Amino acid sequence: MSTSSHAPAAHGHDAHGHGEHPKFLAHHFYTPEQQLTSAKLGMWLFLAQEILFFGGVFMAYIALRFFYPGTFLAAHEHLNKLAGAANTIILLTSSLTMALAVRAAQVGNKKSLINNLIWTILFACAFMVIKYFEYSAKFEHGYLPGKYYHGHGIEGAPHVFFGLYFTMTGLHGLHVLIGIGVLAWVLIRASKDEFGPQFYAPVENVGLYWHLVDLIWIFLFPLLYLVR
Amino acid sequence: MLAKLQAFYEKYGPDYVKEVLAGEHDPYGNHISALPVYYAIYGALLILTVLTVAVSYADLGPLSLPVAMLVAIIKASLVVGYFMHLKYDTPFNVLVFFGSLVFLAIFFVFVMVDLNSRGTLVAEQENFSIHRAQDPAEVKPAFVTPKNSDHGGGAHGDKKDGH
Repeated sequence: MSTSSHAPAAHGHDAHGHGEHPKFLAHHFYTPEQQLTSAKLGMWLFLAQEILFFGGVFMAYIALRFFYPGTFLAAHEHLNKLAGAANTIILLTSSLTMALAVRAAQVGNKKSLINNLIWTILFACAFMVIKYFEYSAKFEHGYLPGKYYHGHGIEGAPHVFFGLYFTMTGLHGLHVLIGIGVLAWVLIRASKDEFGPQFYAPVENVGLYWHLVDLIWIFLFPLLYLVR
Repeated sequence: MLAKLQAFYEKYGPDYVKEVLAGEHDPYGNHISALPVYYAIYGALLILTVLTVAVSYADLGPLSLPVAMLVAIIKASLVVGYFMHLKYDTPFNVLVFFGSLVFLAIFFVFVMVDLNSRGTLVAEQENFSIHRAQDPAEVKPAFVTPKNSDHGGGAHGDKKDGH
């Protein structure tokens, strides 16, 4: 009977002998509350790791800016401040719709949950579209990292600055793409009516991840686009 | 007019703000934030974004970076506290989050101390080697700043004046 734990709880025969077991509650948890707090703790530990991971890149920024203050000042003029500001506002708005989606799941409003998830995905796509145009412009001018740099008109060591620019925004953009993926997964599960006030941990955790992506951009934007 | 103002104050005054900020709990014990809180935080984030851009155009000299970072930290706190719900979360998750910041700070501080002081160490090392080798031409610096660094000497720019 070792495989019986995979059988749906609805069949009335409960091998654990502790009463009814909701469908969403995994068998290694006692209560939905325990399951939610465990899931969130796991997510926060992952986010702590993400903060340290991005910390390494931010340290690289500090060190390189320390070595090349003039280059940073000159090269950042070639970034599109308007695109950067637009992307900041887009990400902040997507954070709001994400927070509203989590709240909708908490109060059991399926329609609002789905709408807000769709808005969040759309804003994430808009972010990537703007990023695409920004990257194309850099490619066109030859503002590429390291040995691939063949641009003109920037004093100092612009290949170093653009190496850092592509590393930082590229890693962040990768997180946005992964975010679109997990948001779509949550949207599909939401449309199957899987979430409600009793069970919304996946929505909440994807939300936490999405807010972290926003958080990183809050620091990237002034550091890369608004050097003074 | 005064009566209207008073009525407005009684309806939307500190008590109302307190109540909205407190939010409510569903039957399962989960905290739910009130909608106005999310909208207010969003508004504050937009205003702070405009402020960040404005500060970059204002000529604040050496203050511009600290001011920009302060604004970013305020924005981050709003996102973490209200959007990520950490203000109402279990203290253990708060510990995990601030724990990561503590280790980040340790990392930053030690690397910055190294960047600031390795120039002095290299200079000392060179002096020591010169006395031993009696031939400065043989001395190889232990650490070389990137060739086209903006301020030539990099971390140990003052070394040349010392000799």
